[in-house]
Amino acid sequence: MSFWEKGYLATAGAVALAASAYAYIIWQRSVELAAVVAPDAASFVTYVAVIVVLSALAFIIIASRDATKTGADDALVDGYDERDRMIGDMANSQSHHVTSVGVYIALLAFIVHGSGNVLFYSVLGALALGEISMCLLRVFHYNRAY
Amino acid sequence: MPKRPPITNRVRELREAHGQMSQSALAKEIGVTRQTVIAIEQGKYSPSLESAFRIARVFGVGLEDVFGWEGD
Repeated sequence: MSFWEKGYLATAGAVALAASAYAYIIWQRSVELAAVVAPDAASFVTYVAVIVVLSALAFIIIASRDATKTGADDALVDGYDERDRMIGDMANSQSHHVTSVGVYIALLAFIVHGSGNVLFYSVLGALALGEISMCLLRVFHYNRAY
Repeated sequence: MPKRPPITNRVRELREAHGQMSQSALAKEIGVTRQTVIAIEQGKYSPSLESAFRIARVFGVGLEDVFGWEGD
């Protein structure tokens, strides 16, 4: 498995973990309130920060382990080339469809429920799903023939 | 099962005949990653025209001596 495959798998894991934890916290607060709790800046910023930090840490750890295992020369060679760009473009294009569908569902939920809070969390969920699908699609395409 | 590109290549054979050049060394010469060289040798990736020419130049042979069409 290449550096990028490991990195994107780790990123998918980080987003899934952070999104699940955030969803659980929001759900618990909503149950206590008996209504969908309004989003607050502190929780939202913490959610984004956790994803960024976990992903960055994962890439750093993978890079250092790869360099140790294969030698410094190999690590330098594993950059981002034409094949990585092609796979990245395909994965991004396809994951945009996942995000779009999620956003349309969120808008429909808003029309049905009329709740801005539900709209916010639905869109956030769509973005998280889009990010996870982008990462998984990259790994999928790395193992296909082109 | 993904469909392989209909392009064959002798990259591995030429690389080994070229002083047992490593995949990393070839990757550095043509400006791609080692993973891409592996994918090319396994027939899982058809390189761009520029990269194909670079590979041929590294081995000092023509393009058609490196790459071929399946069935030819």
